Amino acid sequence: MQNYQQELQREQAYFEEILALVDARLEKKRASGRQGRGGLLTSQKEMWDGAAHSSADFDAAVELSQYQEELALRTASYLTDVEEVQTLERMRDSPYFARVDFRESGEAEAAGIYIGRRSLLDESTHAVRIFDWRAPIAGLFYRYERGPAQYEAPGGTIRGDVSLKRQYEIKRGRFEYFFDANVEITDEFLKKLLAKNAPSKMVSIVETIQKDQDAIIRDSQNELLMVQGAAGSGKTSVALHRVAYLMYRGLSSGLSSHQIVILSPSALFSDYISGVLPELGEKNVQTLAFEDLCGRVLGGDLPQMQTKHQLFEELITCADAGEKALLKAGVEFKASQTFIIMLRRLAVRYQRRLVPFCDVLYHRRQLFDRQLLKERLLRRDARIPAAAGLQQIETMILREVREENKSRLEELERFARRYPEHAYEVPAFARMLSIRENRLLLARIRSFTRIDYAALYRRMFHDKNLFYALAKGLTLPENAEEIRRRTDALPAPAPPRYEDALALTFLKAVLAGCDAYGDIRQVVVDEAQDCCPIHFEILNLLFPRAKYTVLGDLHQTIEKEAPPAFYEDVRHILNKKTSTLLTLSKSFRCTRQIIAFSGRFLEGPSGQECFGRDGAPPEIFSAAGRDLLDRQLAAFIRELGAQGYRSVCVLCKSLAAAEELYERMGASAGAALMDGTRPAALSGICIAPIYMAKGLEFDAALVYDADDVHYHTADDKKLLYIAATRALHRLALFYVGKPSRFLSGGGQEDAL
Amino acid sequence: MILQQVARLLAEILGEGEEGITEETAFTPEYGIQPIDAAALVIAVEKKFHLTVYDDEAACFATVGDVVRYIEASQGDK
Repeated sequence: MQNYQQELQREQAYFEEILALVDARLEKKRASGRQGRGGLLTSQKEMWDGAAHSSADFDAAVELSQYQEELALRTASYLTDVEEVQTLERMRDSPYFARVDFRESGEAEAAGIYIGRRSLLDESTHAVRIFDWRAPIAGLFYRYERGPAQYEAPGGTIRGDVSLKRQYEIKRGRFEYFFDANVEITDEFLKKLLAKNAPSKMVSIVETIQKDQDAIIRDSQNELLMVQGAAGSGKTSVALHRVAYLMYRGLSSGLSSHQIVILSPSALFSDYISGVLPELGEKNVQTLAFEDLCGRVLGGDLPQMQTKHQLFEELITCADAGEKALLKAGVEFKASQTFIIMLRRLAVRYQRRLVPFCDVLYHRRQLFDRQLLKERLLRRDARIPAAAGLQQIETMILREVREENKSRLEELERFARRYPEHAYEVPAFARMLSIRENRLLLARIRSFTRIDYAALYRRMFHDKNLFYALAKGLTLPENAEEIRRRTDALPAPAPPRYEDALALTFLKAVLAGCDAYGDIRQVVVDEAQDCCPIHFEILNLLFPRAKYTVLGDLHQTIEKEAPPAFYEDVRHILNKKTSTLLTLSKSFRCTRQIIAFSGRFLEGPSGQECFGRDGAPPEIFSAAGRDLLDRQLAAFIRELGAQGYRSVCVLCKSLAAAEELYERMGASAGAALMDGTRPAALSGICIAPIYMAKGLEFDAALVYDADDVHYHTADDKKLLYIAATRALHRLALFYVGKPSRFLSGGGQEDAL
Repeated sequence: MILQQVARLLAEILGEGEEGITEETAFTPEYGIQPIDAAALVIAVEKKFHLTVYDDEAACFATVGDVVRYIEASQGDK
């Protein structure tokens, strides 16, 4: 007891010291910020008062540009000060959260290493008072218990002993308490943290990063890092903290925030995770959905594509089993390795045989022969993509045409002068004729120098011989012909189907290359289980110089079966020098009871561990009719609210179902509809289709219409798994009629 | 400013006031502009701004705005 008091005093004293340091720094920065702002305002005023406003006067323009330069410098320096003030204010709230006492081998004494979100240097002594959680030495905290430990310093491996691990609760600039951490106690701490309400946006987890999570965050060996993570294992958190770590390391390795891209499943999800990096004091990193990549590559060529969510909705609401099977087969085929080979072959064939070269005639002579042009394309430098090669040919042709144009214009003027009855001026008339000729000629030239990707893609399906020629030697699915005919029958132009848009993106990337993302050095792919080979092939083309972190959960695929060799396929396609697959099998989100319950929706043993937090058992409600069910649901929601649960999600199978439910009782229950068009209101009550809520978490998840009509196929079972694992604390299922066969933990699923 | 100058040139050719001429003005009969007027504009622009406009480029001018942007781009290159 006494010991604790002594320790507490010491810790509080240290805390006061640190606060004083931060306060001093803060005051200094604030003062310099005030000065900077003052200087900025003065400069701006000078510029407007003093400098002339018309740039017609050269001297005045020079003076203006000098003002602007000074202004830019002052602004940049001011903004840096503002950012630092913000960082220091955050630090003042909670300067550190952990301490490790480490005695280096060969040293007599242990040093206390304090760890926080950011490092703090004592400028007078040049001592590091607080280490950034990403510093190599801070790894001691995450990886080791008391005993022998080591970390990698720039000079080499530093070995020694950890004699103390301590954690602090410091909030809003107040020292609340500390505790010495061993495994049991940190688990209790984590349990307490997890027992709280779900935040409406994802928050950082620096204080509670687990050892296996830390290994993923700090991995720097692998060019491809794959993570198979159970629902609620912290995959996305880990991915974001990894990004923060890479940016920290990037200070020395030259990786900056605009060289990193996060591929997120949807805009909704991007919004959900948008708070983590700023909380860690890092700028936000570009977050893209695959649809954004396609849009970037295809550009104005194509109207808005069908989104992945729209595809899910189409598949989920498809009533006819045969139709659904065909749709799925089409999607799967077009995303497969077989189809990718066909697309590559199409690109080659296009260059060799399908480009509609024609002779170029102008001013009564043939400038270029079609065969010559074709050879020029085929003999170009192999590193130049086909589209660029064709562009070079266009430039070459136009150069010749422009040369010829001079004499052609003279001839046209002579022609015009022969007809004096023309009211028009001769030069303008001749010019008009020349321009018209050029217009026609240009159209003719561009008929073979500009690639119409959509037309080429359609041709692949329209020309039966071409289709099967491209498939020679490959194994096609048994309904390939049906798929071909259906694709051929699609109206054009029309918003392309998701799988066709992907194929088009791939085709264009192969034929035209894509420079937009040449700078990107690190790509993080979340919810990778919903990606197919074609997704990764496209990534390969768009991010040639990047390293990858790929995260997914094979149990949470939607409307498809993840092949057991999924990660192997990814490894094969991305083809990096070093790669590894790590697993996060412990789920932290749900209570033990919810995890146990959700296990019945998995095939075979899940290997899923649970962190071991207890909660209320999941409940199942049935009613005789829909009205009764709705009332039960509403009552349950009210009860949850009374019990202090703030975020509740009512999960429906499809968006259509969610909309229907929302129509009936959304307003009265005070619920919002999650339809992907608005940023999600994650605190409060919302009604959402399961596929949209994937990756998110709520205090309570309520599954609506959990009857056998809605949920009876293998894919349906997975949806139930996803739905059940959205809940932190409470799970309930509601149905009318016959309960889904999966609820009882048994039952054979129907084929589709 | 370039827009003003181009508008003035076009107005002279058409024999109308330059007030109604904007970047969106298209070289079509709806705007009262015939192909020969567009050709005359190209010649006038070449003279005024000391440029050479190739006819394959002129063939792509659909609006006054296209002409303005072309001139700006050429001046930027200088």
